[in-house]
Amino acid sequence: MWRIPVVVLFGGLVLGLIGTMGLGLGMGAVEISPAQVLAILLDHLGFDTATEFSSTQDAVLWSIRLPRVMLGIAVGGALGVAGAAFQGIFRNPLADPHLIGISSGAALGTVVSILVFGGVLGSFAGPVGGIAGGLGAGVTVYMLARHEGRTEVVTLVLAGLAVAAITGAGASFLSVAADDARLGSVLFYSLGSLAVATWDLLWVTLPFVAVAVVFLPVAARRLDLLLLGEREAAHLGVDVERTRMVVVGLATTAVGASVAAVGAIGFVGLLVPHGVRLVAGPGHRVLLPASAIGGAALLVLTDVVARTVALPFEVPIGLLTAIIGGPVFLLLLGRTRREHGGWG
Amino acid sequence: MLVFAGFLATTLVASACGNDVDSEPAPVTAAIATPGLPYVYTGPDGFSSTVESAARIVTLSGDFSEIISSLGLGENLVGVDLSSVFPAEEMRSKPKVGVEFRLFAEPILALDPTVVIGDVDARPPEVIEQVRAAGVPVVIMPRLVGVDAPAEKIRLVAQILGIGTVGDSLAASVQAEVDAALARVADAVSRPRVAVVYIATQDQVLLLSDNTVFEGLLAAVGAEDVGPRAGVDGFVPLTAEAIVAAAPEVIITARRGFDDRGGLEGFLEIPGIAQTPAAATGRVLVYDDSFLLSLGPRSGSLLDLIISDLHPELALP
Amino acid sequence: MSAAAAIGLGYRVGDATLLDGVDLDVADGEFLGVIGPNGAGKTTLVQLLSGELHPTSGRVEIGGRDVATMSLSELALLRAVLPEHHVLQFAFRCLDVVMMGRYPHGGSEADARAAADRVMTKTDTASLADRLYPTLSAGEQARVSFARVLAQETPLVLLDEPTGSLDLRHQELVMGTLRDLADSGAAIVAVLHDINLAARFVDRIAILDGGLVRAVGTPEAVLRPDVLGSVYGIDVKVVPHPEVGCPLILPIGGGRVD
Repeated sequence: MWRIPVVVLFGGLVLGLIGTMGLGLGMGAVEISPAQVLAILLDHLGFDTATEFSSTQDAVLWSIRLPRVMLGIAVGGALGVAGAAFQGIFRNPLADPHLIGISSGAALGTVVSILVFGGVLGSFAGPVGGIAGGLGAGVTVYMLARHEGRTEVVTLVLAGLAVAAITGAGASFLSVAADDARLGSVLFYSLGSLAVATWDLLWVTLPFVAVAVVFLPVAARRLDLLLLGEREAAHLGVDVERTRMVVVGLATTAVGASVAAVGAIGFVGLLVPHGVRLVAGPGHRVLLPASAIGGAALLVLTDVVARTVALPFEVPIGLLTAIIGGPVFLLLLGRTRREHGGWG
Repeated sequence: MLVFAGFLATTLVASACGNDVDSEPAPVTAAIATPGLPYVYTGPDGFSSTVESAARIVTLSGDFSEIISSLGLGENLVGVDLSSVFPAEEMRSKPKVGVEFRLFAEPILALDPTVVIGDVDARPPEVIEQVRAAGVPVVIMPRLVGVDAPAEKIRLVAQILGIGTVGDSLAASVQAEVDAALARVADAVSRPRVAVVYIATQDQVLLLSDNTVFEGLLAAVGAEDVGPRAGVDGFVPLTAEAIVAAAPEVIITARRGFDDRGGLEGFLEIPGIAQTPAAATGRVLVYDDSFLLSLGPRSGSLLDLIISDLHPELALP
Repeated sequence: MSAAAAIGLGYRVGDATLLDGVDLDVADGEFLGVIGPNGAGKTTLVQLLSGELHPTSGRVEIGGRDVATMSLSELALLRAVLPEHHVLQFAFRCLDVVMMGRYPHGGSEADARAAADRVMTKTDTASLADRLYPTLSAGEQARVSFARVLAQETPLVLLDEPTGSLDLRHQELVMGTLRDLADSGAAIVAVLHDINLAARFVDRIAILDGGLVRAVGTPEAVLRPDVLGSVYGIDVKVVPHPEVGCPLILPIGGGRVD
């Protein structure tokens, strides 16, 4: 069974990420040459170069594109690693934060939190609310899908759909009815956008994302054992309940903060872990970090397409991930079933 | 080093296929001097912007585009929003920066503007922040309503762009036209009940009243606004019962939505409309969107037209 | 002190009593077979012995200590469990699956790999090492799971129907391996459906019926027509095995509902 060597995998992913970062910084409505990109970056680090650039280019690169690319990396990484973690915990490759209702729950939580606690919590109202909403939705779906110690596939997807529908509608309604400038639009919460990226938003979001990306891989081995079955994992000494709570908690933290920042972006958490599994197997010690890097690269790349293909408009990024992700997911579905015996 | 190289390689590729908005900087004509600049403006959002040059203007709403054109600074308009359709010829050739309620920073900045003008409907606030962070003053005007609004708007825009004197005289003439039109109302005999219906989308038909551009306007033209009777403050989705209960004798609406619905036939199919006295007598007055909705230089003519349409007895024999 | 003991063990769920007053023990180096009709409570017994379920009466001791007082990680080093059904659906290689059995022992990846290799050779699963678990047949999966359980290297091994989907050869192999384990000092408790297979390899047999222990002792003592007849409701003839000498059970009919 051919598996890609780990070094090649991570090398490729990191190169891909650097490449998409380059694209993200170099492309956009305002023309900035590669030399100017480097010159501006170096300038901010204190080095002078001979290349000239205008103050507009400087501002666009430093205040708009750079935080946007950084936020894309943070959110993409969060979605990738969270998706992989959810799939491990639910023992189901269909578990994507978007599909099981956590993204919409987070959107609702964000909106409510900004409206109710915006004064008290300031810019942290968003991510805190997003995490709370995501946890609420996640717990609801999980409890509905559990039956006699197993997670039922069909119930998981259906419960996820229902929770997503209810919370998504709630978030959309509130964002329109409240008519508050602090809130995003319906389009923003349902399909996402990185157009709102600022350094402030990045700093507010980063701690939550970083916590998840750093600490989830610690549970990698336990997630592997959980795939054997909860009873088997317990027999091997894994505290299943605690592992579950920690993993779901961390993953939802990442997703909740991401949705609060840029709205709900689907399919990243579904596709990237699948891709990694296909080439490197389901072991979580590779899967989790690889999904983070892969998710980051994918999101930054998709964002570049989203904001350059239909100027002066931006295509909602969730639309692109769905358009690409949907068919690819169907392809993966068929191929994986044939080659790997499926997943029951 | 490897990272650096990879970085360089990809930005090279990126710029090679880089995308940019059509933004050949137009040669700036020194047609109008702007002695009033620099001008410091503090908008309703509390933010102060300093306008130093009116050489390259981007507008975020059609009414500002029209005003700027009327003030003679049309050549300085380097970018307009999609609602800028008047004057038609002029606006058609201008690069578009999107729609006011869904803005993006880079398309605006790609036009290298010296000032951006919009009103409180401009969103999202983060994008405004981003444009300001790039050093471009973004002027956010308050929503001005009422019969004095056109002149006020013209004066304010002119002041911001440093041509206060020009603005004052244009404003004065517009105000004169408005006053002249409104003076005719004194001779009006009828005082019809009027409903203002705006078709936004397929499913969004709105009833407009106070707190919109129409505040006080209907009273001024000698009509009774049915809005307050229907309990409308601002605009609400039209309900059949409400419009029937309000029983307007005349309905005013904007052309684009009207046409999209299929003209009068389609309009009358809107639930409740057909049961109004206005429908029975066919008194549905349709005006161009930009004409009707943006209070600007053409307001005098608009009011004149509406007054004639509402009060046939005033029409010259 | 026995390796494991059930003392007055009982388990009730709602109105149903699945086990009642079960006293059983197994010593180090002993292979205890558990047989009985469907629904007798055999799986429940294994779940209670492993600590997965908490008894509603009585207690389970492993190495003299009450299972309820021990942590999961302690237990993982003391007892390994092979359940009847296997749920792994993700495409792990069989070697990785067997290596998971080494988790309680910690240690380096290389050590774990070496241990797994040894176990897979012993269980004739080495040829499956690089195959993906979900692509295996039921029998092959059972054998790999068995290897995983052995890799856990515990003094007590609990198995629920370990030979269920295996062919004759691998049945012999599994039972022989368990016998060897017992001979080298481990305590084995296995629920078995094939009484004759049990008779040839185990030291003692416990017969469970309706949640009660009906008989426990050597195969010769316990496998008698009257006992088996009343437990299973069929007529049997018991003869000495021509080659090995242990009891050979031959069903001769009955069991129909009159």
